[in-house]
Amino acid sequence: MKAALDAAEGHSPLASIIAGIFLLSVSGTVQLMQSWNSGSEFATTDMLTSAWNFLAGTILPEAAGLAIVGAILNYARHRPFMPLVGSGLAFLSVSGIWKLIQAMAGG
Amino acid sequence: MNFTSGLLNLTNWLGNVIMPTMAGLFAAAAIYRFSKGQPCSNLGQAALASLMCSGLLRVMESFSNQAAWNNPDRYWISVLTLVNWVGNVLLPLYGAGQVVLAVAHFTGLLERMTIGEAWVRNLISAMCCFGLSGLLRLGEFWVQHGTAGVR
Repeated sequence: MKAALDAAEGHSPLASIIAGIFLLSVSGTVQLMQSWNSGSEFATTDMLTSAWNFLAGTILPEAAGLAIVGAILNYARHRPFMPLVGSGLAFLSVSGIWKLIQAMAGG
Repeated sequence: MNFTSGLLNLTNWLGNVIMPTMAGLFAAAAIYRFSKGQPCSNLGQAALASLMCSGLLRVMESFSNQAAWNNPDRYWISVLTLVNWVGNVLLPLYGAGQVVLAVAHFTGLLERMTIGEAWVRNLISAMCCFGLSGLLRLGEFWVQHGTAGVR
């Protein structure tokens, strides 16, 4: 409903659609996070590490596909599309960017 | 039901169902703007890009897979590969198109597309209007037969 209203106002409905998918899959997300819980004294660290891996290895590469779709639509509408191309590449190499930041901070 | 498969299905639906359908709309808009003598190249290119949405994602994946996942130079190498691809693949193709345009300009064909003597533009627009589905099939043929890359 919110996505349809957003689109009717000329805004992007994507954020509302993704929020809708997230709300519909809350139970699955809870089960996923329970599977990450090791129950040990390092449970919080394990959870954060698993969440980071899930974000960098699963969610962001899928977001790269959405970035490509957005880039094509922006190109057709004479709107800036290079930021979406650059962020799509960044989504696909986010772990490398993290290693780059670590190398910069360590150097 | 989980968030990953929901997002994956959304991406697949947008890239493999909606965008190829939108290609027809982009092509129709390109023909309309061409018939009015307005810039239409971005709409034509967007129609072709809509047909190869998943292929463009595969291209970006291949750009970002040039280095290991924990390589600090991974993003730089991705951008470098993008620049190489633009410089060594896209620009030669664009240059070939410019040669064709040069010949068309030299023969005076494009002069008949401006306002005042627009019969060639109207004729081409009419042909495109009558054959839009054929043009889309032609674009799909190019995309399907271009999966092996430029040789």
